[in-house]
Amino acid sequence: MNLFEELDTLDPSSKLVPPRIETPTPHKVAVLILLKQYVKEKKSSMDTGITMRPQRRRMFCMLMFKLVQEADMTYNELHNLLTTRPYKLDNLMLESFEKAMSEFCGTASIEALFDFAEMQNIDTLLNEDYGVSQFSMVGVYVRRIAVVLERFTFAEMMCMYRNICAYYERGIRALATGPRKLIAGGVLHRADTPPAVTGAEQEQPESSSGESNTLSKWAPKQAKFFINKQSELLDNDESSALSPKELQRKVQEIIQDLPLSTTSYFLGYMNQLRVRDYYNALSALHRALDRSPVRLMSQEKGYQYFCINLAVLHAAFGHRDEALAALRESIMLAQEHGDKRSLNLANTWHCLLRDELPLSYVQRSVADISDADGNMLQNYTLALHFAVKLGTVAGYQPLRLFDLLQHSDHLTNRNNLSNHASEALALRSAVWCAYGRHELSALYAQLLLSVRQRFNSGGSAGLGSALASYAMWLHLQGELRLARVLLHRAREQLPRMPSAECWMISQCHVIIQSGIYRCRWHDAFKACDQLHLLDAAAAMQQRAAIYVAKREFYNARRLLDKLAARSELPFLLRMRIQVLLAYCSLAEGSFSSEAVTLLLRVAEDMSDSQMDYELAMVDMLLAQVLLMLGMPQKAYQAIKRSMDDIHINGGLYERAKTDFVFVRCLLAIKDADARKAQLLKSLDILERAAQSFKQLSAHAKVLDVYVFLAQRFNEYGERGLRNKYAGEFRRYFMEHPIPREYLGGP
Amino acid sequence: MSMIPFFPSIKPSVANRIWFDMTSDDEVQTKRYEDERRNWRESLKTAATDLQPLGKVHTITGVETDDEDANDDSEDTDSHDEEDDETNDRVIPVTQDFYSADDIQMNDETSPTAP
Repeated sequence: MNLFEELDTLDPSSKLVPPRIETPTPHKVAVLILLKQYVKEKKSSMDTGITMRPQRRRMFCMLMFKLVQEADMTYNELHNLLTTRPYKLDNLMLESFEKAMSEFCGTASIEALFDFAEMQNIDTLLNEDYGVSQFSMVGVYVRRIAVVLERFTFAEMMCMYRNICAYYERGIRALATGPRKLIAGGVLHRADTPPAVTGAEQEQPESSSGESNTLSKWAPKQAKFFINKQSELLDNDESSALSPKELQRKVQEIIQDLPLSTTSYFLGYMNQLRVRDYYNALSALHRALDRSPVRLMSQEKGYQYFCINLAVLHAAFGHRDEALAALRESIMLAQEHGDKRSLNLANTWHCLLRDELPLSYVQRSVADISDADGNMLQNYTLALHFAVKLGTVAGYQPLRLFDLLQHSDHLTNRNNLSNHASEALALRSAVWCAYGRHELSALYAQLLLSVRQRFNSGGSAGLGSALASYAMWLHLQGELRLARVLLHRAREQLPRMPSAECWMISQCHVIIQSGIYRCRWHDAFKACDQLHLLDAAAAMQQRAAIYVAKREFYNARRLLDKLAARSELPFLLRMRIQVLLAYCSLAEGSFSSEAVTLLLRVAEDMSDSQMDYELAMVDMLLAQVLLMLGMPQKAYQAIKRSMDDIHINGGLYERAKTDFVFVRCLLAIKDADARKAQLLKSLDILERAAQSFKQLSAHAKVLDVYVFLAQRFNEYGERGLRNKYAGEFRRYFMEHPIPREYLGGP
Repeated sequence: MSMIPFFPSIKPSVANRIWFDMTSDDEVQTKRYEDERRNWRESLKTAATDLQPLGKVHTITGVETDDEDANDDSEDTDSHDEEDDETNDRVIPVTQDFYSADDIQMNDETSPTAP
């Protein structure tokens, strides 16, 4: 590599030095030999009149695209590709290819290479009738190789020939030891083997991931394809990209072969970012920015992009202040140079980091649907999604939020942005969940999970949140094993932060709920501690919920007061805190009007925001309170109001509890003599509730149901049934002894 | 003990398109190389056509002058070469050397294989 060339590239004032065409590698020559066999066969088929099957032609074209675009392979790997599905060649063509290769490297000598590089030979390949079009991708590939081979000196040709022979021999040796057999060729009819010139002949053990191919070299086109593909995978679907070590190795190879290509350094930086290695990522970013010629971004105007990338790095690691500082600098530079694109990007990140969005931008996004270029379009859809998220967290009218989602769907469907489409699905699921329609939210999550293959690698945007949400829903429905399987799957797909955040939060919640049901307080508290690192406010609320379940109302109230004093809480969380506070004062047994007014006010807010499910939960609580106060009719009305919503959208626990309260209300409104008949009629409802509690291992509630039944039957003089349920209680208590104070709880 | 809404992470991609916009002009580059090569081969055909064999002096025809005094005493009447003698022949001094490097393109810039 020429030092002066490097300096030329970095010096903005010098004239443009165009990059040279890359030297062909043995792999490329083998590909051309394969192409020649195909062209020959096509010509013969045209002459005889028997046409090749279109499917065969199509598969061969796909194979050529793959070979031309992807990195160089060893002969062994190439042969493997040609003999396995889906690119399997038919035997005739495979035989002729193998024979041609063995003749090229075996029986013939360097004359073969000279003949190959002849213009006549190349023109056969580029023939208009039966060859490849010279302007197609493969045609340009052929021409590039031909134009370099033409200019080789004799020494260079000799070197090239030796490399091809070495490449072939290594492949044959590997094939001989491997499971597959050659159809033809493979025997080297030569007295002695010309040794390869490139470096020492190291016998490296062939690993399945490809031996270190000293004879291959990265061409710019191959590098571009590889880098684009890997960077997209790293952004969207990290588990499908190469493993970090493997990717680093490939990046080093590309840097070694093409030191002036800037995107390879950036891919190295993205790799470091993905493994969350802050210091290495920072140095990799500096290296990438050093190697990128500022000239490419028109003289001095490049620096704002540097700042934006630095801000993105800080944001990825959660350094909010540093990120904002870098963004301010980049906005200043962008405004100075009048660069609209970078200004847009910087503003986008600024909004995302500060959790705010100017309304005018949203309105513009809605208005400018038709005329938008690629970058702006993505920005608009991003802005709409962000607006929906902010609106949900703040508790806006759901109708407006769904309007925005519809606009975003309009944009993504018109422009085929699969990533945004899957993100929109995940967002819809979240919005439905926030407004209490849990069943619909679970349906959307399931839809996203089952349909993501159709999105062609763009379907991973909402994967984490969909998995987390659905796992939690399954757990609430009592499908504990399925929930565990789903969380395990999420852990495999998204092993690292920040994408792992969703399933980690979900797992903490699942453990906390499980702990509350079983009265395993220690486990639940530990999970709360873990949750605190991810979502402090939710952790405090759950801790308060555990205290409430333990009936330590003083501790619960203390925490809830501290939490309620905070300003920046999501709307849903604030409502739930108020409900818990009200519950604390009511469950202690003493009735206070303050608590009831609090509940009523909360109910009003909820109905304004159309959070029907939360309203139903409040109604259930009110029903319990009214029962306690001796107002059975009102209690019955309250519970009737709430039953529908809870049965549709609630978890197993809530449904069973609702049934229990319902039966109690039913009994309360009947006169004394009709009660026994009513209880007998409602027996199966209570049995079902007990079964649900058993499925969730909510031992305290199971015991509560049995105690209630036994006590009632005792009152009504039904000794047989009383004994039965007393026996059930005793049996269950022997298996799961729950301390007395937890019975009769919420 | 209820559901929590899980939001997808909403942010633009790290690999911004501005960085990854690598325009590759394969066709243009290849065509340029092919054209250079073709021109070079063509130039081989016409290389050094303006040079004369050794010994012969390169002459060009000059302006016709009315030099009757010089030609009147000539006794060769059959020779038609007299017509040539009326012209003023001048000798062109040979300034160019034999082959120069500019005729055949062999500098490093365009050779793809030079180190």
